[in-house]
Amino acid sequence: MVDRLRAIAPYVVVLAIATWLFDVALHFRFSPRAGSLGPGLWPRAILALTIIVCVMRIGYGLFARRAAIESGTGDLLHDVAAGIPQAAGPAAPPAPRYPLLLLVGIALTIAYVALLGTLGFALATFAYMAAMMAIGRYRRRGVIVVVALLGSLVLMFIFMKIVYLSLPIGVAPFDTVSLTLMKLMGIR
Amino acid sequence: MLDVAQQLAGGFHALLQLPNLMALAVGLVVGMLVAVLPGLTLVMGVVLALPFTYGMAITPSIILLTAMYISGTYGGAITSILFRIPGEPMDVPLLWDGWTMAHAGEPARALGWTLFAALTGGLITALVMVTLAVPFAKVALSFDSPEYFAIVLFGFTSVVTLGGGSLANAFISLFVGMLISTVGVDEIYGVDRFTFGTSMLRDGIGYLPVMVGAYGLGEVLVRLEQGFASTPMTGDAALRTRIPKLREAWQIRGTFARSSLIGVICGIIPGAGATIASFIAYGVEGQYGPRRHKLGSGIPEGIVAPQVASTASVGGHMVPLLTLGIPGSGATAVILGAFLLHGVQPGPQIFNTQGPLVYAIFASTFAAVIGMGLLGYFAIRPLIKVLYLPEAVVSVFVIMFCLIGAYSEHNNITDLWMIVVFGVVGYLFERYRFPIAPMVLGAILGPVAENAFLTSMISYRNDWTIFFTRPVSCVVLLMAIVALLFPLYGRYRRRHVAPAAHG
Repeated sequence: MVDRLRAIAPYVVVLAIATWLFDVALHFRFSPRAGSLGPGLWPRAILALTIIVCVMRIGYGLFARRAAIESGTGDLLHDVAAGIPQAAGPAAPPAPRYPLLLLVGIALTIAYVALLGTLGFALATFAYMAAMMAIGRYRRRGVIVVVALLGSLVLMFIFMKIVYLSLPIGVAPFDTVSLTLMKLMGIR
Repeated sequence: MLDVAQQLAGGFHALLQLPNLMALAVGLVVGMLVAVLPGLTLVMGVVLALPFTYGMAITPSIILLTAMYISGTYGGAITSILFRIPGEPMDVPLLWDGWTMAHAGEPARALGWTLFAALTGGLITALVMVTLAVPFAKVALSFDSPEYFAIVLFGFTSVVTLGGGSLANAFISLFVGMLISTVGVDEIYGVDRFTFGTSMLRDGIGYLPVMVGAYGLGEVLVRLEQGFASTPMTGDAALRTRIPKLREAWQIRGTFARSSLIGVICGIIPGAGATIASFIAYGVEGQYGPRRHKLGSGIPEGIVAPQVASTASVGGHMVPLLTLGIPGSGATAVILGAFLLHGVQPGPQIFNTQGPLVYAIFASTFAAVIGMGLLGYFAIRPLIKVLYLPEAVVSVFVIMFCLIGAYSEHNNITDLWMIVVFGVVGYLFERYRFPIAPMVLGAILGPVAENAFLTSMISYRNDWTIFFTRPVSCVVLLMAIVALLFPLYGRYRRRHVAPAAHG
């Protein structure tokens, strides 16, 4: 039963969000005119279909026979692969998961976006690239520093000097670094 | 026909300009590199190249992306055959005969067949583009909103049913994408939808952040959770290519013909694509090929079928993109984005308004196919070197290109938040086995579908039957219904017919 509940959990979440958004779509403010379908019809139709699919999937997950669930749905690629001896070989073992790495990676990306305007592109990118390579289990620290340094400088040069993109230079005192680098690279 | 030939000659002339030639060369090399690297997909590669096109003229921009798209359909085959690492999902069928042939001591022959198949598929795809695009555009001129709605609906059903995996998950993914496209100020009524009072959401959510976030950052997050486990290559492989003799190729002309047709058709159907084409072509070879019982043992037919089909699908995809403005795949959606960024709207009128540009694209397709062949033959050894790069290093550059790409569209940091949000959504989709392609296609084609639907309703006084009383619209909707019933039939067959046959 726990397995079944775990399997339907994503659909319950989607169902809850879709139901809430359906309610939001019922209350779009507009001046109705005779014969007009209104701005809410299309999103409501999409949400109604989402709710129907979720309810069906939840019902199926709770009450269908286990064998039926495991047989899955019509899957063209599965059908093709099933008929091929080479493809039907032993399945690869599932890859180990490192949820902490994932959480740190997401946190670092959020921090990068949050600090980009303050630190400026060069500093923030150097720090972010180095941190991401380090948490990505790459152990050669010297290479990490060199790649992060060269990477941030090359990206800055390409996008500011060649593509004419206005990347964030940061606020004082961090903007000094960006402005110095821009001067050295001939970026105006 | 003479007019087309003249225009095409003009296209080749335009291609000879230095920026266009450079875009072609860079596109070919980068497309192949991206496809060789297992962590990067072809769509991701095209997405990551998009910010570079902002500062370029439109012709080299589209040539760059198209060349990447074409050469990307070949690059992954090399690693599939030599190292048993499919660079792209479309290269998985190459493991079954390509790798087997290489493993049996004939890697040069396996690579030769793949290259020959890619060249054939590529030339066919270029011819298809040139011959089909003009008639397609002429027919499309007569289309009204019901036809557009039917075509988009057909695209939705095919991406859901052909994509593989759970049908319910594919539908939910599609609906999420369509819903994302409704966020912002509604075009017809001027009403805020799902903006929750934030100015950021009033502008709507473009499909590029959805795509870049879900395909780019999302994929990197998935691999980060696995600890970037793919180990860099350490050994060496026999990197020689032996092109088959024409006599040998002629002996399996049926495979070439069948697979090319499958590739072109899968390309034209919105939502299907190179991966579907590759699998179907292999499956059809297994069902109807004269040497079907030997498939999987390392025969040329098993290499040619998927490779011809996947490369041939490119031209098929480009036809509806250019003539209807409807992208049928992730890569063509990015190419559409490049068109729109330069103020050009593809559609039935494009031959009248942007004829030289279109023929330059056609000419570049021919040149890209030849260039891909030369690159695949002579530059295979240096190309393979990218496999020696550590995944953590490659991934961090992927993220940077994703973020800069999103930032460069409006020079606005708030766009980066969208990338982060859709990166996490992409990760969750992968984690819980919701396919990403339907969401992306929903976000791209959602506004087209809504506009076509509401315009039809306004034009035909809310008459719902209009979609079935107009012949083209009715036929396409019937095709959509068939596409929906197809997996249900497959399920029925697996449950009832297959056990009966075995019992």
